[in-house]
This record gives sequence, structure tokens and C-alpha cells, in this order.
Amino acid sequence: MNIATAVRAAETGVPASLQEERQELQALVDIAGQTVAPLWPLDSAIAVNPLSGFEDLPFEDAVPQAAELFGARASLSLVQWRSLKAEGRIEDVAFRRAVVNALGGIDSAFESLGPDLNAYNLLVARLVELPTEDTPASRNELDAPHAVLARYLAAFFDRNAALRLPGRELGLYHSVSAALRHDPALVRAGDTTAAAWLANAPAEPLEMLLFAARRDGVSRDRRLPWLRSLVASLPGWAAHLRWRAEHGGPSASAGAPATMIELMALIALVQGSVRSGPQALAGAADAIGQVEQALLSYFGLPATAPSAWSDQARDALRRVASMSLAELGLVFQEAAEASFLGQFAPQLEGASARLTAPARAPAAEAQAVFCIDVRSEPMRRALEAQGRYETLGYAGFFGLPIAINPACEAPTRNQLPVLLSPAHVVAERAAQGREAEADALLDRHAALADARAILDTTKSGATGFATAEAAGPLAAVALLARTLAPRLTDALRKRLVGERGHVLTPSACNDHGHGAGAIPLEQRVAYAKGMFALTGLSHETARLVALVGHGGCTTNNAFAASLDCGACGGHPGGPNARLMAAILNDSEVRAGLAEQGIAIPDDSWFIAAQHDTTRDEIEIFDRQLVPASHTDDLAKFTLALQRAGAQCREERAMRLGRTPEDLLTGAAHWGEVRPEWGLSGNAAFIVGPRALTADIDLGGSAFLHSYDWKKDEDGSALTGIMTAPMIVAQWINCQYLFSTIDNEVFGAGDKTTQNVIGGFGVVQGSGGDLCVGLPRQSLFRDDGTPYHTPRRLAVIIEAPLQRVQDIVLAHDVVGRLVENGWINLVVIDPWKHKAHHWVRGEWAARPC
Amino acid sequence: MNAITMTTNTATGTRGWRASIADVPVLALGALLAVAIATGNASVTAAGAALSALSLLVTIVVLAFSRRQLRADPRSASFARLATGLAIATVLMGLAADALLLAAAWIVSGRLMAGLIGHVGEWSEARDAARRANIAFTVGDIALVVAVGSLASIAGSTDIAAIKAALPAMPALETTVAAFLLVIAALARCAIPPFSNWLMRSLAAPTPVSALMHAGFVNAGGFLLIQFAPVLEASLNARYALFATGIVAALVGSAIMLVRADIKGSLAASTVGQMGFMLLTVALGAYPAALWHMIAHGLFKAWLFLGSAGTISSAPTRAKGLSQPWPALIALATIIGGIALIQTEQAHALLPVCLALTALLSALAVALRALPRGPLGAAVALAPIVLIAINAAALAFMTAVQPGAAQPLISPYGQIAILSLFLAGWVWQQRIVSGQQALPPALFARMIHAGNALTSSTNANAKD
Repeated sequence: MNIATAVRAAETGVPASLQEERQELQALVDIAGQTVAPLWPLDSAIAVNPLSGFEDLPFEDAVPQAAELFGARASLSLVQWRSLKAEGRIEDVAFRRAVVNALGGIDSAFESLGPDLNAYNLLVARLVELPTEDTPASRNELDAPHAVLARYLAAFFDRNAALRLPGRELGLYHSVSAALRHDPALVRAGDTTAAAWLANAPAEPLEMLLFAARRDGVSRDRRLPWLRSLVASLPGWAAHLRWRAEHGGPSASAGAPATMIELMALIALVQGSVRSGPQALAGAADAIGQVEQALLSYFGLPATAPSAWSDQARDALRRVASMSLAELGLVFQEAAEASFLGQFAPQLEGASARLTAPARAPAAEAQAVFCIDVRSEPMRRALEAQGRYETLGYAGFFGLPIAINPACEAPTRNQLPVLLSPAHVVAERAAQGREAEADALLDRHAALADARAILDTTKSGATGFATAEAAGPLAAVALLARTLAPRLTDALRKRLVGERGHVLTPSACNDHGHGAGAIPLEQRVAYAKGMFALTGLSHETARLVALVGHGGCTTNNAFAASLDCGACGGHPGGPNARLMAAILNDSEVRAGLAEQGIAIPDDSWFIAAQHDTTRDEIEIFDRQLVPASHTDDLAKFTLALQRAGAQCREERAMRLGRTPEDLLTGAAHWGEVRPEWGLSGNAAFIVGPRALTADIDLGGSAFLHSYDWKKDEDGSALTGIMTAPMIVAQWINCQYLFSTIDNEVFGAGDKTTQNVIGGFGVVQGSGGDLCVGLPRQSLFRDDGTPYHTPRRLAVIIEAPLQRVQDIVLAHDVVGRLVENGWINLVVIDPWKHKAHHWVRGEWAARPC
Repeated sequence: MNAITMTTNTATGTRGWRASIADVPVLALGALLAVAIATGNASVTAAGAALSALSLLVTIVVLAFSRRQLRADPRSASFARLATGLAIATVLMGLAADALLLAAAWIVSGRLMAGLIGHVGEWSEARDAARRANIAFTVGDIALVVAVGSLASIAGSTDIAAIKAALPAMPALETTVAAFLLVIAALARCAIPPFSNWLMRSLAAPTPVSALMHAGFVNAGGFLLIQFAPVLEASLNARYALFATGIVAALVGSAIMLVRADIKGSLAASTVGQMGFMLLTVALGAYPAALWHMIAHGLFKAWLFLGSAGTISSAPTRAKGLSQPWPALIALATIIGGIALIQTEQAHALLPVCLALTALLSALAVALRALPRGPLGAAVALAPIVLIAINAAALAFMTAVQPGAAQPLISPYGQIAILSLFLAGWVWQQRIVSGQQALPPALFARMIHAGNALTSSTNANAKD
């Protein structure tokens, strides 16, 4: 049935059912579109859970299902897990307990199957003893029809196309399907019916899907899985499209409208150019038999031994032998998670017990509020070691829901978590007292932009030949400088061009009356109050309080933004810190706060700073505004920051297997593929006062959010923490977890063969699906072993059990993650100082 | 890397410099170069020196770059070996006084490059790219060996100078065949259609390999033809053929560059166009201009490839076309300039000089916007003038060390005609890029796949 007959059918009296079928398909399309998570462009890279569409399922079911759909590995290989265990990242006790749990408890695990044989022995043998092949994640390769489509998708989505895809403004389906009809490569790749198929393709995407479903005999009850498989055949481009439609705003799709149904229709169109025969299924039963034989022979038993066993014993053997890689991997993963909790939970319990002791520490010389990012933890520990310094953890956008309108020709950028939308657009302007420098800087930037425009205009076409010749000598200088003297070159560049972050700052107030960019006073007071409420920061603040944002520092790195602050929309957090510091130093705001019971001492001054996580240097902004009375405090604090930075760099260099000096060079070197480990190693999100974790070396594995349950009587602060920063931490955790498990499908693969496409993403080699997730070098060591251990996020909260339980039950977004096992929720009872683990609907005492 | 790094590195001996049996061939190649120099089998020509200098400079940069870039690559040692071998082979080729030595070095460098292209051996895309490279290079190798062999046997010597000296006495048919064969060898190496596939598919190799191609590999075709210039000049037909292919490659490469959404793909396409331009300059007989293009473009493109990971942009950049009526005015001014150049009787390399003028005028048209910004704006406007002046000085230097062809291929007015063709294409491109004119879908479909045909092996691989 083609479109013509369908229309005729509608006219001749069966419109109702056809209309219904269309509506049903449209509804299914919307559901199937959620199969992939939105993928942010790399200039504002945001970590997302690539399996966010599967969070309605329990973790253990979701992973194998998604792995099958996307053609991914469901776990690290057993060889990799064994090496992690051999390295000591999995404790023996935790491992044994995980094996027993996987077998359904002690009884079934240790029930005797025969002489000296039980299910526990069998499973341990499968996990760590039986020879196994190391199956590496294989490179994702598209067949010809999908590869053709991927080229057009790239051309359609290209932001910087010199030459636009014809008809792009008409929409994705119209322009690409028109081009595909003229595509010789697709006809060649297809079978004999391909040309006719392409010629008869309906003009509307919904009709195209109906057409394809009917031709391939996809019955109505199988349409959802079919649509999901369409999306999953080009998950990267689909994920980009989801971002574009849901988060990109009108500017992202201006001049090139596209919807998910159009993409699905195009995939159905190219798939239809080859009529696939029935797919042969692998002989699964046979493989299980082989594993059984291997197990038996490992225990020195003849192949016929089970015939003498009881049915129960045979079932036990079969069960162990039939466990999939996903199930086996999960045993290791749970053991790794338990190892982490086993190591730190007792220490946290001990710290909680000591908290009640009213030992009043002398007031801090200075306080510093860091982002909750795991890279803040070593730095905070190092700073605290320098003297009487107190640190806190708070989401790195400092609670300011802003977008910044840059002072030059650049689009507005969101400086807040993607869960929120900006409430204020704040203008970037010269920092107070540095107006002349700012003007000079903007002039230099404009000149540089002009120079770039000259190159862009002349580099292609007939003028490109002369441009290449003219730029050659310049390129030779740049080649040598960037390769042989990277740090000098970087310093020189900063000297000549200037750093906009130094002299330009977002501004909350409009000096010339109240313009559009200003944040109203009551809002400013509310944001300031929010920081005290969520972190439990006492209003008796120290003489100096630093708000420390963070950002990475790398060059020639497509994934640079993935090292920046996720809470600031994948940008450095300095601007938010500066705005918040300005708000808190504002006398009007302080008066407003005092009215609400937060009387900040008059001798307290807030400064903004930014932690460079690649070099571990903390830069203080707006020194010129610090009152003379605080100069000595600032000098002392600066020195402490320098020492802390050096200590932190030393610690981090060891984890990278390099020298601290080499890290500084790597940050400026254009060939460096691993300037830092980023958030690799993240394992926990700890909510509580700093005293809970102050004596523990967490090795950069934990997000630390300050919280004081005593100051949060109605639980609203904890609700805020669990519904926003915790969710973001879980996204990050899942991105790292799945990018490690299968770096080719859920990750972005090898950095050195990546190819920037459209100005916003990368593909491997000469094209194909858009890469999602993180590159290999961010997660794996030079020798190929995983640096990041795949572990679900342990959320550890010090608060009354009932309060946490109420929040979990009241908020579906939290309850879903906890109940389906996407996070491990552990609550430390503040009275009994015991950790409790939420296990599918009830509290269990910590398993240790 | 210092001692502390080495001890803290947990990798088990796969990294760091450790002598291996695989180093022997590289050392042998180095020894061969040393022997060639010691025994007087090497001679320094302008073309050879240019090729060697380019190769050494870019190779050193790429090797230093790769210490960090390929830190997690289990085959990083093999890469360093192949890259070093490639540089030695290229220098050997550049300095060879003996035609057989040159041909042997040519063949070796081709095999080494094919090995580098197939660096990621477990990836079918890389294997396919290496296979295509091997096919293209084999065609070129055979053409070169037959050409050199026949020339040497007629001349009775394998010495390049002796062959050149014997040329006037050779039968016309033999020299014509040899000239055509040399052209084929150059086309294969320069990835000129129909040989573009190997270059366009080579993106499956790590970034440093793409940069290394511009270190006197893809551009060695120009060197070869200049080294054997008298042979080429002996056959007007071979020069015309080279000229025509060069024009086609220059236009096709520039066109593909415009439709590629990926940075490496558009850089590779641009190389096809640039190589076309270099070869057409050779065909015109403007050898100094071609040599300077080989060096400058090689450096430029190596720089762009190594920096290609830094091209993520936060905003859609503006359409990169000049607004009306600038393109037409600039084209007209260029033609007038070209005619004026003919009057000065310095029109040997009219085409490259005039296109440089077009580029300069376009740059200045863009820079006009910057002028109101004061001294910095003026500096921006001055930059292209300075660069073109440096360029002219380099060209003058090249002209002093490398003579052009005795006979220009076409008359100055013929060159004006070709120039008009390029300018017409350029004006059209400006219209399309600035959105004033649309491209037919069928043409777009062909351009998007040009030089990048999908293989049956990709198919087979996905099915099994």
C-alpha cells in the first residue's frame, strides 16, 4: 500500500481506523524518542546517563536490554574485572558477599551439589578462574545505508557549513529524503528494489513510517520495539536531535527545523533500501553446555557427573553456567561498590559519633565554598591542612540561575545546571576599576576575530591557494612554538591577547538605573540566603570567605568543556562566583539578609576565585575591590592557596603517573590527550557537614555537599539537594560508568582518530554516528586498564532516616533511581550513628 | 620524560625507548642515506633540499606531538619507527642523484605511509584505507619504475644528470611515454582524481599521520616532476594532460571542501585541490612557484591537522562569503592586474600571482570593517599585505635557486583565460556560500560522496 492507495482508502470509508493507527504511531514515536538521552554539544558538554531512557527499569534489567538494543557490551570483560580485583580495587570480603547475593543467599550458595562442590564454588570459578577471552569493545561500524544517511545528517546539522544542504530550511525529512532520492551511493548499496523504494517514499514522515511498517509486516503490537530499534541504529545523531529539540532553544534549530519522527522516517527509508532476511540466532544453548563442561572439568569431574546429581544440583550448575556477561559483571560491580562502602562507611559512622561532642574549634581565619565536584575534595583537604581554614561544598553555580550575555559578539551562554532554566540574563561588563584594561582587551579580541574572518573568507576556493602559501611561514612558527615550547607559547598568548576572565565580569546591578540585566534586590537576597540554608553555613562568617568556582585548562581538546563545571552548564564557574561574591558584599543585600535572621559580620568580605583543575592553581578575582583592612588576610590566604595547590597537584600527578611539572606542561600542550583525569574515579555523593569527612582521604572520589540536618527543620534544603545536585551527580556517575563499560558505544572512543564534525561534536574516522560520552583516554590508563572503576553512585546522607524516606517517596525523580537501584542510598542516622542502606523499599543495616 | 615518570608509569615495558628488532630496518635506511651521501650518490637540488627540509621540520614536530598524543596507543613505538623511516626515505628521495635510488626511496616511502594509514589495524575502515593506499601507490610505483627504467636504459646510465643530458638524443615516443608515466606517478602520490580515495579515506588514521602526509609525502609528486623537468618538458602533451588534471583537481577539491561537515574531511579535500593547483603550476613551467607552494602548503596543512581537535565552536559562525558586489569587483581588478602584468613581460607565473592578488583583495575587503577600530584595526589590515610580501620574497628566492621551464606551456593570455575560469568559479562560490544561490540536490549528493566511496567491505563487516 502506498500513499496513493492510503488516501483512497481514507476516502472510501475506513478513515477512522487509519486515523487511529496514525495517532497510535505518533504516540509511540514520542515514547521511542526517549530511548536515547539528549547529547549536549561539546562546547557546553553536560554529562548525561546514556541509559536515562531505561531508568524506569531496575538497573540489572536495564543494562542488558540497552546493551542488546545498542549493540554494546553489558559489562567490562571478565579479564578486565579480574585485573581490577587483582589490583585490590575489590575487597575479598565484599567479593564473597556479592557472589552469595547473586546466588540468592547463603543457603542456595553453599548447598552441597556433590563432594566439595557447591554453587558458590562454581560461580567463583566462573568469575575468576575459568579461562576467558578478553573481548574488547569493538568499534562501532555502520553498514552502507546508515553510513550514507549519517553523512547527510552531518551536513544538515552542521553549524558552520560553508555550503548548506539544499532545502535545509524545509526541514530534516524533506531536505534529506530529497537528497537521498538522488543519491547514487545509496542505490548502489541497496538491493534491486532500492531505486523503486526510494522513488515511492511518501512525502510525510508519519506516512513514511506507516509505509515501512506495513511493507516489512511490523504488526501494531511490535511497533514500539521497532521504532526504538530505528532510533538505536543511529543513537548519536538521535541524541543530538533530542538536545536540539528539548534544550537547544530556538537558536539551535533556526533555519533547519527537525523532529525525532523525521529522523526515524529517514532511518526507515534507508533501511528499506535493503530488504533484510531473517537474522540467524546464535546457538545459545550450545554455549551454556560448553561452560558446564568447562566448570566440571575445572573441578576434576567427568562430563557425565551431573547425570548422577539431583535435579536441584543440575539446576544450580545450569544456572551458574548460563549467567550472562551482564550478570557476571554485575557481581564484580556490586563487590566494587561494597568495597567502597566497606572502606568508608565505618569511618563516616565514627566521624558522625564524634560530631555530637561539643568541641568548639577556634574560629576559622578564612572560609572557602567549593563546588561539589569530586576534584574539589583533594583541594579542600590540602587547603585545610594549611591552617585554620574551613571549607564547604555547594553546587558550583552558587544557586544563581543566570545566563551571561558576553561583552563581545557571542551568543548568550547558560551558567546553570541544565535541570533549571535561566531566570536572569546578566550582562558581562568591565570589572570595577579595570574599565580601561577591559576596553583594550575587547579591542584585541575584536582584532583577532577580524583576522579569523579574513582567514575564513579566503581559505577556500580560488583564493585558498594563495592563502595557504601566505599562511605557511606563520604556520611553521606556530608548529614549532606550540610543540617545543608549549608553556612559553601559552604565557605569551595570554600576555598578548589577555584573559577575558580577568577584567570582565557579570554584573547583577545596572549602574545606569535598573535595566533589563539587573537582578531585583529581593531575588539577590533570596539567592544569598539559599547558600546559607543549603550548606548550613553559619552566619558568623570568617573575615574572608572565598567562593571558588572551577574550570579546566587545556588546549586543542574537543572535550575541553567536559573538564569545566557541569553545574555551570559546562563552562568555568568563575563568573557565578564573582556575581555571588558581589551580591554578598552588597550592603543592601546584607541588610535584607539581616532582616531574615542572617546577620553577616561587618568585617566579613567575600572574594571570588576559580580553581583550575588541570593545574591546581586557584586564581582570585577582583583583588582591587578588597578593602585595605583585609589586605593582610588576603595575602595570607593567597599563600595558603598556593601551598594547597602544590600539594594537590602532587597528589594528582601521582594518580596520573606523571610529575607535577609535566601536568603544567600538559595543560598547555596541544598534543596532550589526558590533561587530567576529570571526574574519573567518582563513586560517592556525601551530604553532611564537613566534619563528617574532614579526617578521611577520599582520594577525589566523592562529591561533597555541605548540609546540616539540624538547621533544616522542614527538610526543604535536603529536598533541594536530592532533587538537583544529586541528580546531576548521578548523571555524571552513569556517564563515566557506561563510557567505561563500552567505550565505543557509550563512550567516544579513541581521541586520536576523532574528527570534529559540524563544530559541535566528533565522529570516528571519516564519518558515521556522532560520538556520545567520554573518550577512552579520559577513563583508561596508558596501558589500557580502566582507571575509572564502574560503580554506581553511593549517596551517603547524614540525616534522620524518616526525613530521607519522605523525600524518596514524595519525589518520583528520586524514588525511581533509588528503587530501581541506579544509586545506592545510604543514610547515617544522626542519633545512633549507624549507616542504613535502602534496599528495595526498606532500610537495611549497612552490609559489612 | 624523566626518571620519576618512568618509574611511576605502571605500563609494562610497552613505552619508552627500548631497542627492538623492528628498529633495524629504520637504522638500515639511515645507513643507506649515509652511504649515499658518502659515496657521492647524493646531490643537492633546490627541489630536493626543499622536500628534505619540509620533511624534517614537520616530522620532528609530529614526533614531539605524538609523545603525548599517542600516549595511550599500544602501537606508539611502531608509529615512531614508521614516521622516522618515512622521513629518512623522503630525504633519501630528495637527495638521490641516482634515478634508481630515487625510485626505491619513493616505493619505500609509499609502503611506510600505507602502514601508517592502517595504524588502527583492528578497524575495518583503517584496513580499507590502507588497502586503497596500497593500490594507488602500486600504480604510481609501477609507472615510476617503468619510466625510470626505460630512461636509464636508453641513456645508458642511472644517474639523473646523465639521463637529463641524454634526453635531447632520445626518440620522441620514448620520452613522451616516460613523461606520461611520471605524470601518473605524481598524480597517484598527490591524490589527484581518480586517485583521491586513498587520501580521503585515510582519516581512519590518528591525527599525527594526517599531518605527516604533508611532510613531503602527498606533495612529493611536485618534487618528482620538477626533478625530472626536462623529461616533462620534452612532451607538450604530457604537460597539457597534467595541466588539465590539475585544473580539475583544483576545482573538485575546493568544491568537496565546501560540503564536508567534518574538519578532517574538509582539510583532506582541500589538500586534493591544493595538490591540483601545485601540479598545474608545474605544468605551466612555474617550478619556483610550485616548490614554494609545496613547502608553504605542507606547513599550513600540517598545522591545521594537528590543531583540528580545537575546532569546537560555541556559536554558528557567519556565512563565509563576501557580499555583493565585492566578488565581481575583485575578479575584475584581478583580470586588469593580470593584463597589466603581461605588459611588464613578467608573466611567467601569471596564474599564481593573480590568484594571490585575488586573495589579498578579498582579505582587504574583509579588513575594511576592522579599520575603524584604530591602530589595531590597521594592523589587522596590514597583516595580509605583510604576509603576501613575505610570500613574494620567498617566491623571488625560489626563482633565484630554481629556474622555471624554458618554454611556458601556454601564452599569458591563455593563462588569463584559465584565471577567468577560476575567478568565475570563485564568484559563483561566493554567491552560494552567502546563500544567494542554491546548489542542485543531485550535485550535492555527488559532492558529499566524492573521493569517499563506501566500500563493500564495510557492508560485509556490518553483516557478519
